[in-house]
Amino acid sequence: MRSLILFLIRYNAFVLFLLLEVLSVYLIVQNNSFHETGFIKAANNISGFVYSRYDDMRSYINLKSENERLINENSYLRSLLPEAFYDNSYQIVSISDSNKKQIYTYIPARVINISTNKFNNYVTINKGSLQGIRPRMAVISPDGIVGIVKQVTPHFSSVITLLHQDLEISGRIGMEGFVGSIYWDGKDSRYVKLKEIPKQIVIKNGDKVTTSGGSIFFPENLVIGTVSSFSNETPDNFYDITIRLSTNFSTLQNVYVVNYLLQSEQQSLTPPDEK
Amino acid sequence: MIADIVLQAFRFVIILLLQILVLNNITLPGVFNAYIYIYFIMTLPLSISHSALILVSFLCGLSVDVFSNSLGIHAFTCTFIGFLRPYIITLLKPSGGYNPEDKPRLYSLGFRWFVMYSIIVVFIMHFMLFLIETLSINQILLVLTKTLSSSLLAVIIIILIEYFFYKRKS
Repeated sequence: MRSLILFLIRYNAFVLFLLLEVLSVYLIVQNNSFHETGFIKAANNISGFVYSRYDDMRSYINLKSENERLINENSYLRSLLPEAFYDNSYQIVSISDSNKKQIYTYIPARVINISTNKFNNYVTINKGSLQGIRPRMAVISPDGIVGIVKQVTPHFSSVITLLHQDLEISGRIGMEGFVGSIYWDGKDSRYVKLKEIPKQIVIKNGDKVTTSGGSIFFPENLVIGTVSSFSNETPDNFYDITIRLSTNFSTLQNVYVVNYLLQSEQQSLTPPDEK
Repeated sequence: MIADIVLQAFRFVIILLLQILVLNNITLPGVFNAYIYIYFIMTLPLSISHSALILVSFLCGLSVDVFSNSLGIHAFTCTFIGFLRPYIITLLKPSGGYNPEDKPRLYSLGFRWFVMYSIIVVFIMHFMLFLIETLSINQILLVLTKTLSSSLLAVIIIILIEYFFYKRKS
C-alpha cells in the first residue's frame, strides 16, 4: 500500500494522464450508441444554445435564396392539394377514409449547426423532445434526405447525416428497382457511394436513386440523388457507383423531421442486429 | 497568479469561439479540417506543472468536443498532447538550454523554434484526431492526406496569429 502511494505520488502526471485517457475512451464509446447519458445531454444543451444564438445572426445572409427555395416547395405542394384538381368523375363517392391511415407526420425545423468536413458529420436542429422529436426519426430536406436523429434535448436534436461512417441506408435504382446500400466514403460531401448493385442490370449516368420501401426510417420514393459515375471494373459482381446527392449539405437550412408512426411496431419484427 | 489564470481563461474562450464559429465553417470537403485551438495548449507557460498541463488540456479538448458532437475524441487527443508537450519542448532545446523567463512563443524563442514546435504538435494532433475519428486502417491514405493538408493550414494560421498579435511585444 505504502509503495503504491509512493508510486502514485512519484508518477502523478502519468497516472492522471492514463486516468483521463480512459475517461475519454469511455466518452467515445458512450457517444457511439443511441443511448443517452446525462453528460451528453448537457453537452448538447450547451452547444445548442451557443449555435442557435449564432444562427440568429447568420441566417439573414441566406434569407433570399432560402425564401426562393421555400416558395418553390410551397408551389409544388400546392399543386398536390385537392383544390388543384378538376374533378371529372361522374359520380362522387365519398369515403370516410377508414381504409387509409396516416403513418407519417412531419415536423419542420431549422438547421443551427452543420459539419461537412469530418469523417463523421452531424447536424444540430432547433427542435427537440418538446416538439415531439425522438431519437431514430428520419430527417429530410426539401431536396432530398439528410439523416437520422441521434440525440434529443428539450429544445435541440443532433442528427447523424448521410455523411457519417456508421450510417448506411438502402437506395433503389433503375427500372427494376434494385436495392443497394448507400454509404459515405469520407471524401467529398457532395457524393456518396452505392454498393451491392449487380452488374447484370443496366444503369446510366443521371439515373435517379430513391429510398426503398420498407425502411424503418424513411418514407418510400424520396429522391436521394442521381448517378454521377459508375464503373464495372470491380473484382466482384457488383458495380462501383458514385451518387451525386440532391441535398446540398453546405447550404442546408430548413429540414423536416419525419415521424413514422409505425416505427416501433415495424422494428419489433426486425432482427435485432439491424439498427 | 489569479490574474494569470483569468487571463488564460479569457484567451481560451476567444480561441474556442474562433475555432467553433469561424474555422469549423471553413470547409473544402475532405481536404481542410484545421483545428487551431491547440494553439492554447501550445502557448501555456513553460513553468506549468505536468499534471496541471494534462488536466487543462483535457478540459480544453472536452470543451471542443461539446461543440463538435464528438464527445471524447478531442479530449483524448488533447490529453495526449498535454502529456507529450514537455518532451517535445525538451527535444527542441536550444544549444544554451532554456532561460527561466522563456515562453513557448515566437517572440521569446524565435521564428525557427516556434515553426518546428508548431509543426510537431499540430501534425501529431491532427493525425491522432483523424485516426480516432475513422477508427479503421483502410482509410489510412485519406487520413494521411487530410492530416497533411489540415496541419499545413493550421500551422500557417497559428504562425500568423502569433506573428501579428504578439509582434509588438518583441
